[in-house]
Amino acid sequence: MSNKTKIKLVFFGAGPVAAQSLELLAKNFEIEAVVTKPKATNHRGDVPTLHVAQSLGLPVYTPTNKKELSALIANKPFTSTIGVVIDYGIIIAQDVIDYFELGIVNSHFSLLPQWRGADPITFSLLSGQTQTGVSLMLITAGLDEGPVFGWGVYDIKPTDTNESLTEQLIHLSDALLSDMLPKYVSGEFKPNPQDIIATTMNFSPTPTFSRKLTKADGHIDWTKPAEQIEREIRAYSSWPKSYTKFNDLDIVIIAARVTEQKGSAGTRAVVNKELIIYCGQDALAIDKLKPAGKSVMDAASFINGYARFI
Amino acid sequence: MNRNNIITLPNSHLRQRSKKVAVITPEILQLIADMKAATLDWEDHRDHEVGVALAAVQVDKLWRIVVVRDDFDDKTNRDFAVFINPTIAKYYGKIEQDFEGCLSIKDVYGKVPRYTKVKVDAMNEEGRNFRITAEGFLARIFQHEIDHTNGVVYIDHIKDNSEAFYKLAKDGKLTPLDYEAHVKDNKDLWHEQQDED
Repeated sequence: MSNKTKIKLVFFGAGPVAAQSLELLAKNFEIEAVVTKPKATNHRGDVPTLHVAQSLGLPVYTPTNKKELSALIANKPFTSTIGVVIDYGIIIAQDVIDYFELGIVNSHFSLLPQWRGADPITFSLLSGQTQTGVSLMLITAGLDEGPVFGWGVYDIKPTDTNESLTEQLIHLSDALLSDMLPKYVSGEFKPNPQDIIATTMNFSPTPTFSRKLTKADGHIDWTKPAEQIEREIRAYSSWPKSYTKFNDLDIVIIAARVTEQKGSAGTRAVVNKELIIYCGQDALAIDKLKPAGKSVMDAASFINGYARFI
Repeated sequence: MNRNNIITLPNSHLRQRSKKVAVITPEILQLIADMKAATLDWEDHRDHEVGVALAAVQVDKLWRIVVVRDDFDDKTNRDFAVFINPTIAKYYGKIEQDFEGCLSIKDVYGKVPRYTKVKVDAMNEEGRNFRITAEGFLARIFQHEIDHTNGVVYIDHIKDNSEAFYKLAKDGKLTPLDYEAHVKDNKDLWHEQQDED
């Protein structure tokens, strides 16, 4: 029996996106080892990639920081000529990059140089752009500045939330890696400066930057335009979520629509049986919300049960 | 032996049952060495493939012998395990489809349904019987090779599935084969059925 040759690689990743990506990659590549984060001892936090690696029976390494990672690589433990990093969270030093003859490929969830940095998915939803994608980049010492050898485009749906967009991009990333990584390894695809994507796709080559969110980002500022707040609701859907207070009641807004109604920003009304909150510009008609201590409900149920808070 | 000793379809021997090995003779041991050499020579002349296993019928010796690479993901590991008179004692797990190719069917790959876990009984080169349980891709390899000892090739399992056939292109990519044009009535692939009246 014959089989297609698989490319051997070392996978670097830690978070939930890494875990799911690793599961998909293992079908098309030989994973020599998984480098992830250790399970924190005094912390309830989880390392999803650790579980996946163990269930696939792959060798696992857990350096805790940049230094330990470099020390691990100094022992020359791997024979792979290429690494893949997704959702890792530890800075990879130059000596680690240089250890791999063909470098380390990062699957970055935006069309670079848009949204370099830690949270490209959220920022592409916040910006209201209609297209995003995945870029395959060779990492360098700079922040997401490396050359790219492939990318794929995804048309953002008006209903996409952080979860749904993440899910779509994980699958796009896997399809790109399966298709393009062998071509990079064989030399068919050459790395190019990032502005090749902007030039081809016709957007500005000026880099934009994403950052890690804080809890405070989720606090809804009703003086913003309704359109912006609606994007935040979808962009922050997994964390920190978009929250506000109705009198003293903590509320998380789960889903809403923009409606052209005028009123004083932050005030609430029931109009034609819809729960309306006026914003800096236009208003939001709330479709789903979650009062503190209760489960998610639609606006009609909320109006029935919580009229005194409106 | 080298890659030129490997027979390919439409050679009808591939559809014949092989004989059980009763005594391990020097000739049998030589055949095993030849099978390994032919597999490695074949692999050395293929750009995008690994020769993961071979049955004796594929070098036109109708004995129930199978050799399997120790590490079928690592080309640099050129060692094999040997299975004489192998039979599948038990199938378990679920049935999954995945790609497999065959050294005797050039440039064609198929998505073949196989059990994910099998128990195999066999004899080693010292004549000792043993039993192993294989999972995942190794389970697939055993089902493929033991089929060979029974005169079955993998395409026989997907004969009527118009979406299961793929071609290996020069760049190593698998592209779907046009079933109507290149598979369905391809005399090279299918054993001529003698109509019995």
